[in-house]
Amino acid sequence: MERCDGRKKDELRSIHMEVGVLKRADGSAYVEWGANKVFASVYGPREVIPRFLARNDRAVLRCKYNMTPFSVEDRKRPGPDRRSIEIGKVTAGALAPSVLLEKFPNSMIEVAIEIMQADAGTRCAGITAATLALVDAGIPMRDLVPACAAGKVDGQVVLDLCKEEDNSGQADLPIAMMPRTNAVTLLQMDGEMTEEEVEEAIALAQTGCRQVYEMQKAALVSKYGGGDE
Amino acid sequence: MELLVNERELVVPGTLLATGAYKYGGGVVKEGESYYSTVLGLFYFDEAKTLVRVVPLEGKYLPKEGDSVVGRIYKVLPGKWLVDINSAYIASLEPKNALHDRVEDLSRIYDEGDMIFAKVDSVNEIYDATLFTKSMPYGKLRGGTIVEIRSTRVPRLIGKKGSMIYMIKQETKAKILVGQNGLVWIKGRKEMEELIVRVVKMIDREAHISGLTDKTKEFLKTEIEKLKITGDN
Repeated sequence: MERCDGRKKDELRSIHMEVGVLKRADGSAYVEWGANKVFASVYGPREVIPRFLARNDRAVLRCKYNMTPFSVEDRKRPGPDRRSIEIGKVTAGALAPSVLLEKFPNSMIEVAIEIMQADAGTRCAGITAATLALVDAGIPMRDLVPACAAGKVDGQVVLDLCKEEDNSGQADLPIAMMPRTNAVTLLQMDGEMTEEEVEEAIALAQTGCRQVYEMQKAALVSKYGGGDE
Repeated sequence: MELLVNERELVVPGTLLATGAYKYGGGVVKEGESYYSTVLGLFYFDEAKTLVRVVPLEGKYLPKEGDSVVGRIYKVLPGKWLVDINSAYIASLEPKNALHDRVEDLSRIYDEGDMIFAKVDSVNEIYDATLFTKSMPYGKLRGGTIVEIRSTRVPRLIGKKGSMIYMIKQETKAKILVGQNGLVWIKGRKEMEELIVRVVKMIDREAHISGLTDKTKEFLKTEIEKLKITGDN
């Protein structure tokens, strides 16, 4: 089968990652994933506002996902909507198992994901960028959290859908995981697939995650010029 | 018992550092018999080769007993001061740890916005820190410049047994107080202050490079020469 952009069935779009791009944030990262352009910034640990959210045994992790009005073809009405609130919540859920929140009692870690340009798979790009930003902020984590989607297009399970495929495809299944322990921290799906296809998609998305994982490591190391000096 | 990375190698969170029986310090988690890094930092294996740890390159300051910090008075309450120590947590300073005599109005001693140099007197499990400013060199910082660096780079600015900071003081004849929280107070001639700010920022940026003390010394010497020349004109 020929995919619309000529990729193989298990091939990712081209991905570019950069760490430490925003000056005022405690940690930040920029990810270009195909035509997706995503900034993630991390602030904290810092004082909890509003105060009643504070937990005295661990930090609170809050994630905000926002699409800029110019990120999609038809202008997106600015401000939070149902979809971005949901993605913010699942992002926090995807990252929290990895972050050592108990190291910072009575504090708050804020993650902001800003989608500058969207082309399907923004939540995966967002989680990937947010992980890098957390590491850049020096927040201790058990493992990096890469994310990647698989889906069904024209009756076939393929990796990392682009916009066209997402619109015409039958299903989309994003996954975030901690590759070291094989723990899946995010699994969503929309569309219809048979049980076997779901299994296949999960396995395929995990191979995608592993590729993204290696890129994340390389991006972090390259911030320090290869380190080891 | 096996080490899987080299001493001073750059590691990222989730890197397998070693397997077997070791002691482990900051920046490391133990799962079963394996030790993993939790931060982006440099791997160290020391204390007679029994302790694995990772020294982070990034991260906010966490108060530790005995540290000297530069702080800003954030609020004056009836019985104490709240001090912003550039951390995730606000510290407090009580009059008994700051003054010898009773004073009615605390804001006459330290007012909101004043910068102070203080010692961390005690810290509890949830990082509520109390400060101490009763003896020299602690107290209010008058004048001078404050520059912020990453607190994880402060050991580099101080150097082994203070070699780096001693060298900078020698070369520039300025007063410098380094807070473990990443705030550095500098007081001297104006152009010298500006030069030290540049040097401190350079150390912050290049902390992971070896031979930095010599490089800094060279840089300082040439810059001071330049200042002398322009000063003559």
